Amino acid sequence: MSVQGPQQVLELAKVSRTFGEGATAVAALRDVELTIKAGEFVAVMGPSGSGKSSLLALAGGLDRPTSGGVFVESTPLAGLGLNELARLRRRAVGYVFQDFNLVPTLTAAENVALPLELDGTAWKRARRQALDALRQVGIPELADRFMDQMSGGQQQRVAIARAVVGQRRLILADEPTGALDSTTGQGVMEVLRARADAGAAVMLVTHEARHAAWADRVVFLRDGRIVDQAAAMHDPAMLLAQAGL
Amino acid sequence: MLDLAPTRTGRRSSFRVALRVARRDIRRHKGRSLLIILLIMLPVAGMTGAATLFQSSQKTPEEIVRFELGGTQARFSTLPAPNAHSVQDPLNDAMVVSSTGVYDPDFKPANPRDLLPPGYEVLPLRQLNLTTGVGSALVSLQGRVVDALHPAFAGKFTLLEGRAPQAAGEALVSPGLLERFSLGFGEEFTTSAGTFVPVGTVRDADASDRNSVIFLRQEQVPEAVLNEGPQSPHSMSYYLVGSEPVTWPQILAANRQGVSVLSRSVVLNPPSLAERNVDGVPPPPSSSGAVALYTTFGLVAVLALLEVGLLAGAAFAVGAKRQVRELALLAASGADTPTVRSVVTSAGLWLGSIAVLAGAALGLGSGAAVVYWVRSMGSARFAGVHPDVLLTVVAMVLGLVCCLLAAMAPANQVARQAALGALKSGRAPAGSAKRTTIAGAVLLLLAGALLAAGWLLGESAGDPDRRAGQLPVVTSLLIGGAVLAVAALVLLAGYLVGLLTARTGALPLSLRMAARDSARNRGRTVPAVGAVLAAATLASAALVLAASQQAMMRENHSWTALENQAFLPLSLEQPLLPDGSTQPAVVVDPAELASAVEGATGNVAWTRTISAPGYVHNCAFGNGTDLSGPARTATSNCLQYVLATPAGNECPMTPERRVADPNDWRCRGSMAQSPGAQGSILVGGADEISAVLGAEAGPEALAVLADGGMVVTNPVFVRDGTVVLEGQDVRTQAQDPADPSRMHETVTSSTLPAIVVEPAQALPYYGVISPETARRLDLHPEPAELLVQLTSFPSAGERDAAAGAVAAVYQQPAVGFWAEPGITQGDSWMTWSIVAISAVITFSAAGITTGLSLADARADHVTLAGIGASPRLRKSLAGSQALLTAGLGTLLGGIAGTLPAVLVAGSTELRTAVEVPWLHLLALVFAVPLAGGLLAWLFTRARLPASRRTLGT
Repeated sequence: MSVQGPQQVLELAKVSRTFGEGATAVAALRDVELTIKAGEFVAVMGPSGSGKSSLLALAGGLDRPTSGGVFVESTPLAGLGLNELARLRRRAVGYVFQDFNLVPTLTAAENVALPLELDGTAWKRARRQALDALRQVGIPELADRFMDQMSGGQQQRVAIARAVVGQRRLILADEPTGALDSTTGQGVMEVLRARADAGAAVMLVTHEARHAAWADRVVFLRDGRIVDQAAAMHDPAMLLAQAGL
Repeated sequence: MLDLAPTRTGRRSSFRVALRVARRDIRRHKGRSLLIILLIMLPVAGMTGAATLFQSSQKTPEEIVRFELGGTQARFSTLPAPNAHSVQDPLNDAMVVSSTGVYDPDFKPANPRDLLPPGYEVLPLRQLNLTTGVGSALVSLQGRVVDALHPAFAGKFTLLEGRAPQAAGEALVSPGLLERFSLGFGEEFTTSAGTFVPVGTVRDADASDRNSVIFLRQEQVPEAVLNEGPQSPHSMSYYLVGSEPVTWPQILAANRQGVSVLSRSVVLNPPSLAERNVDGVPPPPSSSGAVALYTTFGLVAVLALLEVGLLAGAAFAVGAKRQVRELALLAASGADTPTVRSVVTSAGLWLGSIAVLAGAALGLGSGAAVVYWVRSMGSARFAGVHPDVLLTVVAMVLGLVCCLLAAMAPANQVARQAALGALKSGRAPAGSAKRTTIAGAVLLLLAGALLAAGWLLGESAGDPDRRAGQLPVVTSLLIGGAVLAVAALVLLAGYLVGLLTARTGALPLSLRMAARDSARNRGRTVPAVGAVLAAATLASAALVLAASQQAMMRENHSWTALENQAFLPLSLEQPLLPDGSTQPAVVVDPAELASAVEGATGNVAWTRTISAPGYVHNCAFGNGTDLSGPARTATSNCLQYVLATPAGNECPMTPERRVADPNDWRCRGSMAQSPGAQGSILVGGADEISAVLGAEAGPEALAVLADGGMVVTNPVFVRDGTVVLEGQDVRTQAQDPADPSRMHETVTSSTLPAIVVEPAQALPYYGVISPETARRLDLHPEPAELLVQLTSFPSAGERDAAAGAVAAVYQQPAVGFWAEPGITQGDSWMTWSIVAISAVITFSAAGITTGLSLADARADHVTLAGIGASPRLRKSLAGSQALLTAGLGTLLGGIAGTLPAVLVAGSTELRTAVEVPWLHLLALVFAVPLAGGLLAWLFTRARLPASRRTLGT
């Protein structure tokens, strides 16, 4: 087991993931080493099939590695059962997906309060915290709307609010702007950046450089391996210029 | 380190979320939710309604008192008891519940009037059998001699219309009498008790308004009518008006004298079971009626709910599948497996609760409406609305459990899903079917073992008595095996779907796609196939058993004559007069009788007068009869003629009097197992043989007749070319262990040459002798019956008309008209109904699956349309999907039902008549799925319906 500093929120130690067996086996990730500290915003880039989404799934306990170890806030996920992994996602990990992010039968506030309520928090208290989270992402007035009464950008803000509600410090975002126009997408990136600045560890999977420019560090994946890590860029405009966008 | 320990309130809180998500999902998918609600609600409503109607047909003690006694304290009547040691039912004065059972010839019931306790006002009620003329016929009606409008009868008799009689000739009648005889108030009505004018209608709360009843006062009825022998004293009841209750000890004392009492206080406070017994008589076994009722109800309920549960399961499977992204999001947000599962089962809880509540309300409401409507129509079939709380609750619980079980299988599947896989694909990855398949295979082996054991055990016993003793075990094994086989096939359905759809490369495109879709979406296919399978199993088993039952009935049909023939006696005995003296028999003219039947039915082909040895007449029977006198005198005859069965030709019976071998020639044919009766020997020649036996007498037979012999219908009675004709004295009783059909002592015996001419059917005749032989043997031949050959079997209306016409000829209202219908083929509607019911279930299941499949495959259809597929492909796919689901279900169900049913039928008394109705089964297995496919093809729109894209659904 590797030694971790107090600031490390996520560590992937020599993680590999292979799908299938024998001749049809496909290695999605190979010996990936990655750590993310509290307050750090890491973007993961790479072509289709490079293993970005697999990396995200392993980090959040939605999938298990074939080999290697995943640690969230120093807790090894390998020894956790399904129900413990579920509690991990309630208490420590927040997910944001590209689309279909919200439970359609719940209002925005209920969606945000969902991890708290599943964990036994009384409804009034959970709603209060959910309203706080919605306020942090700038849409407290949408608390009682259903997803089909909101725009795509508003839905993603709700999803981010759900990902950060409670004491969770790891946000895993899988191309959260993929289904949004550029203006709305920029707004979502601002919210993620703000969450990182507030102390959360953020891992963003994207294939767009202009979004990766919001990150402190950019990790490049190809054929399941980390092939490069770019230096931190605090000015997104510079990254956009460097990328020619 | 993170704290990942569960919180104390986590489970409750998660369940609350699941309930909320499920409730809102139901509201978002109203069509699917309504379908599930209806599926569960309708059987629950049916069961609740049936239970309500059954209970409503049972009177409560309060209703017994109100309807039967009105405001009186008690009713005294004659108890139908065989001796003084009998006790009546406290709630039903016409029923004996405990008795030594021994007939006591010296027991003479007292007149109820003599046992009336003092201190009461007495209201007598006498029942009369009256007649009135309709055309030339006499028809029956009931008379009640009672003061029906006495205030003490309030609740029992109610004046519906008109007024109370005032003049001597005025009377009250039932509404049914006015309707039957097309009468109005003020019109004269002549009966055997006189002519009356109806002025009002009365309802008897305990009888139907449709009965034909006239209510008279004592002074309106002639003395002669009141004192007619058979109507007194059994037709008398006495109602007591007073304040003092009649007690159970008083009733027991009355019972000992042959009088029954219905007492208000005893009905409302009945004695304990121990007090209802005659001393020394063991108490009757507790009634198994209620147990049988509840068992039957439970069985029907479970079967019905199993069926709809499987159908609902398919709907839940699709609901869960379309919810899978939402459930995956829940999992990604931290919902654990039980929480994800409980979202789907919560839907079952909500829908099931709504369905059973609505079903119970609908059943109770419908039952109550039927009861009120039937009572308002004047029927006494239902006493009042009596909900059966226990059965209603049982139906509701079963419905709810069924709904939860239907939701549970898809819930387990989606709960097992990997949240990531579901998020990526929007489809739940198929769960491992291996365990289910293994369980199905084990169950199938067990089912096979039970069926084999039942069959072997049934076949091992050659002796019918032993076979009868083993029957409960054998049928239990076979039925248990059949139930397990169905369960096994349902479990194996997924594997079989995969197996049968594995090699589909050679199939047409639509069938190929449908097959692969079925295999890929087993969560939707398997419940639908299971529902069809269960329905087809029950249907095919019912078809085999019903066909075998009908074959048995055909085999055992008791022919009274050839088809469409009627026999009408030419003389009719009259009952003895009250003083024991005889009345002359009514003798009718055959021509007049024939004319009456022809006039009434219009389809008489021919008639023939049939002669027979003189019938029994003016013969005194019973205990104490003087047997010293001759069996036949100038004015009486106690002789009837039979053929003796030669030793060794008796039908072999087991010690418990079962036929050892029904196929033994000695047990088959005319009169082989029947005791003799008058009219079993016919007197005539070739024409009579042809008319009565439906067979042509050849020259040899005619020669035997001419030589003083007999044409015999069954070789059983012939030994060495002769038969023995015996005259039996019907006043005597004979006990012959070798031949129990020999019931009377033989007093004459003649040996005759015989030849066998077997009729087409087993008719109740020994055979025919010539008139000369009959006279030679002193059989007193005489015209006995008019044989009427009808061109077709008369309708009910024609039979009634014929009965009225012949009754007019006989001047006897009680004479009926019976024609031999032959073996009715009319029961085929029942077997086709079974096929139809199964078809409806099959269409429903196939329709649900097809609809869900089309909804699922919308994206595929868009793709197909994009590459230029014909719009009709969508219709072909729907038809193929329905065909596959229905075909697989009916094929497996047909096998699972037919095989055990054949084994069960072969183990019971149906063993000689096991019949597999191939036509019906082929219709079930092939025609029904094809029709289902055709319906799906017809009702599917070729054009892809435009729909608003709804995220997450």
